[in-house]
Amino acid sequence: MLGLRNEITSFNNVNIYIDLLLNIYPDAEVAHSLDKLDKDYEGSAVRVRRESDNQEQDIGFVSNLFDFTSLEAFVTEEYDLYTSDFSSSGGLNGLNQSGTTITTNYSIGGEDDAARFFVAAEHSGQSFSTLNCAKETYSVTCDVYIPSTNVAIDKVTIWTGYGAETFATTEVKDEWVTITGEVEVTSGAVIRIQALASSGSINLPTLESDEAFYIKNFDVTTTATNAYVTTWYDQSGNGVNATQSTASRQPKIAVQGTYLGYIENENTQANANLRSSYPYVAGQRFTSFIVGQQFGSAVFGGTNSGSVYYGVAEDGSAGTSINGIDNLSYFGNGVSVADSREDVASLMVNMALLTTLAQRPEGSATQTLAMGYTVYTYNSCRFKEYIIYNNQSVDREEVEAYIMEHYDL
Amino acid sequence: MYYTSTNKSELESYNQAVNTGEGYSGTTTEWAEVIEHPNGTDYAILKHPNYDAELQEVESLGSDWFPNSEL
Repeated sequence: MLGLRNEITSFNNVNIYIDLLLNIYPDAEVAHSLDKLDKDYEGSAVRVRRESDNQEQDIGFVSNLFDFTSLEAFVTEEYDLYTSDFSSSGGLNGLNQSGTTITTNYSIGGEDDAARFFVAAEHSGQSFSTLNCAKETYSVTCDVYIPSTNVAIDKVTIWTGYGAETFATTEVKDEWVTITGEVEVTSGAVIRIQALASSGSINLPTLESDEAFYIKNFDVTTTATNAYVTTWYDQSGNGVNATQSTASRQPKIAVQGTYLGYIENENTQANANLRSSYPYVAGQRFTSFIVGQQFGSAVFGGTNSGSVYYGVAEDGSAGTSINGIDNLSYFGNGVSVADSREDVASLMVNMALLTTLAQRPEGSATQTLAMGYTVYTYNSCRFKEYIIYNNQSVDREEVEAYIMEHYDL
Repeated sequence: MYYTSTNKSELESYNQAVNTGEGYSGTTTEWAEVIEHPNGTDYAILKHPNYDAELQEVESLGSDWFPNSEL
């Protein structure tokens, strides 16, 4: 009779019923990874914030591996920027107006619940509504009705302003017409629904009498392009999640491309890092296993006054002594490179395992875990895994061998 | 890009305006933190690309803002 262990399902060479790293090498102090480290861990890998609407969602695992599909689905999910409801008098929902008086709850052309864009007699110049946009690409749809009694207002168009590309337009009279378009805007721009004169000019001539056009079912949707990590959950069971509550300091998570799902910082101006309450106890030697990639001076380690300190530069140098953590030794892909740190640099430029042994001296400033880079160095790094053990509870070489095999390093 | 000021509250107000506009929820609580220059009189905040303010704008902050950031 076959037991459970024999009913192994394989996915990308990972067997979901076999022990994982923390099952084989338990007692990690902190364990962050984008893959599952403990087969019994029931939490998520990360919590992400998508740029489009700042919504957040936990992303977990599928067959012990990071759930890339859910990440992509969440980040690229289409969401409504604007959905019109002109059935009530207060239904504009942020639709602004210039040279136009918008009133709602009109019936015309056999349809109810339309909004009337009213332009009074003797008005001249532009007449449009605006909807603020803060993102990049939008899908716009709108039903438009232009009465043939108009003399000046001959056309209605959706665009982002004078000189901009027209995304949707109609000059059909006395019937409802649906116009749609894909709108690309620069950050902070607006989408306009604008009346055009028969000449095509955005400036209407002086109107000899009141004129109007009508819209309904005005809907604007968009999708996100970027996502950021707010929380990298701790799988060790010690509950020291690494978090960042300040939006501009949250590291990105790659949603597309070669490094899909990797936590990364790429040469932005801001100080980006994740921090946890994990304390580096004075005198304790600890071993860190970092799977990642660095360009320049990535930093892994303690905090001081809110900034990340202690790390490894691309040339193998370290800025440690002033920051309260020293006695560092570096190992790249399981090979000690203490005397040839250029090897560390070359290894970490590609996705690699970097192991550090370090100690916080007695009397030095309190340090807690942080990972990322400082505002001043502006360098780039990617993280896949970051695990810390008390130095006495781990066989470094065995864990290195496991990680290297898992990631095929 | 950063906004700078000697009036910290101006930058805090800018941050609050971004927070309100963006509607952060969940783990995320704010856009940015006000950075204090070691001289104790100058302050800066990272500019949000979608929110402008009538404040002094600089491309980046010099190393004098971060004297202890070494690596």
